[in-house]
Amino acid sequence: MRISRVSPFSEATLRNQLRLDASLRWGALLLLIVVFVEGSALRGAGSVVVNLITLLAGGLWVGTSLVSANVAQSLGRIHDMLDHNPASAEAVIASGLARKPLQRHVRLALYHRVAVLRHRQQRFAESAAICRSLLSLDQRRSLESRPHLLLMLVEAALHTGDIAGAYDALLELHHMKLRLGERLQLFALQTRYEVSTGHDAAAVANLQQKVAMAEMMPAPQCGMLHAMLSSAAARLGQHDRATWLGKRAQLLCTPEQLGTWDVTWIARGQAEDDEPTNDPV
Amino acid sequence: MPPAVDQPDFRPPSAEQVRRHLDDHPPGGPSRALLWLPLVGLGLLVGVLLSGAGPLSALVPWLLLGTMLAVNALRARWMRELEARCQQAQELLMNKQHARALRLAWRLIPRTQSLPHLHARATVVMAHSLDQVLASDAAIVVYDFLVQRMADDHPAVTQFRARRAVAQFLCDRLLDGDVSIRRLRADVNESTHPAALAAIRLAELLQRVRTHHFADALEVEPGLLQDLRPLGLEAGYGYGLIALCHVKQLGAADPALAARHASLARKWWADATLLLPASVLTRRLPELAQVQPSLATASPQTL
Repeated sequence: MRISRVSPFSEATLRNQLRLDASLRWGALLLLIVVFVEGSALRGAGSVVVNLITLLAGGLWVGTSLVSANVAQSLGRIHDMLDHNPASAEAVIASGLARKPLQRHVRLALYHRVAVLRHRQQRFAESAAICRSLLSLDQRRSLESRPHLLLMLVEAALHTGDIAGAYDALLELHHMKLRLGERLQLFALQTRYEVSTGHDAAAVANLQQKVAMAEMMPAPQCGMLHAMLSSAAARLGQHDRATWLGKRAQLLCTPEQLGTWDVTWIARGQAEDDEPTNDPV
Repeated sequence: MPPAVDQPDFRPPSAEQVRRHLDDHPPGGPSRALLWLPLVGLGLLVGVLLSGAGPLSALVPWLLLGTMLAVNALRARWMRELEARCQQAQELLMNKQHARALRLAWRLIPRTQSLPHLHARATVVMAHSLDQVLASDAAIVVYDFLVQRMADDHPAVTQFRARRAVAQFLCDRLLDGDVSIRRLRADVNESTHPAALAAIRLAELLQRVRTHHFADALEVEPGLLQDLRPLGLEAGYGYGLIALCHVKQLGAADPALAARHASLARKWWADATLLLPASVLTRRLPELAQVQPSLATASPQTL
């Protein structure tokens, strides 16, 4: 039977799967060593029979690794499918998770994809739970996926109202070496955190630099950030800045994209003033 | 430190140099020797294991295995390093350090020949960098190279074709641009990415301006904000072009109509300069330099 859905996340299930994977893989390796050592003791090192048995046991070990290699190959495909065909992506992830034994990093990478999928489906509580589990299971700072997991966790935490969780993740991200794309995401999330928690002065500090960073993002994200910064500036009574940012937001985003970050007050309040203030940043 | 784009000693490569560079270093797969290496190693391993008893036959397989693992580890390290360099080139491009991005991409293209996905990334960086430093002829060569090597249904193909059309109009290759636009119109369907559609709209607008069909260009005005919005800041070029089209109508016999054109020109120019500084707009589209002086010198009645 073909599995097409990933069952709801449970950390206990993940830990059990990891234990089973490890048992099977180390069991195969142990068998290889036992066969080699015992065979060498009985028939003498280098005998054809021992070599053949070692080869077979080695084949078994390679076979267990091939399962992981096959699943690992599908990771790139899943990444592409998450954008265009989430249902198929979920089916491929589900069939990958059902395979055993998997190498630890391959299974964790599959769960990382589950977290991304749930995040895009706006199932933020589940996405946050997966991120937290993966982060606790692999605490290496050098782990390549750690910044992405933390960024997803911040966003999910902000959506679910877990401000403390978002703060902790932001704090860890600030101590990490990030790529430019990750730095931009961190900046966007940090701004959202600051605006949501009423830290408006912090949000609009170094505004010129922040606008330059926002301009590196795709139009919808760039516009959203302008709208957030505009709201913060308006609350601080910096009306020139708020108007300039709000007007840019309206040019960059549709009203639907802006959603809750309503900047239509600019159009209402400034109907007579067609000429925008020239770069008050 | 390489010279910045606006420094006098920066010279982007010519279209011919770019063509030669890409032709000399096309993408390919990994070398045949590397593909056969695991099989050769496995054959040797089995051969040694079955060749007979002795301490050597017990040792050699492990040595072979170790060598293969070491080769793989070195290759993985080399790939990671190249990937990091491609990432660096993309980041330079995002940071608007176009000359440095271009230099790095140029150097990466020969080094990534055996890794087609990295070769493609470096080539895309080179195309965008050339576009940004106004080396439109050379950018067209790179866009052609990319489009020819991509599947027709690849989501990025239409976008590259649209960017190529814009570049063709920018360097006044109007006939080529017209052919590109016609082909793009035929290719558009419901799955075309909004950014690609926006780039096509910008190319169409540029075509009408470069062929002096200013009144025709104003026909697209009603939906222009929605049409160009996916371009982000680059939509400013489109708004600037519409402002220019209104400026070109300032001489209308009817004073009320001229005043309306002046008002709309001011509105669109304000939107354009809200997204991009006037200096950036006029550097890429020199004809926009006349918008602001024309509005400033327009008679008080028209304003």
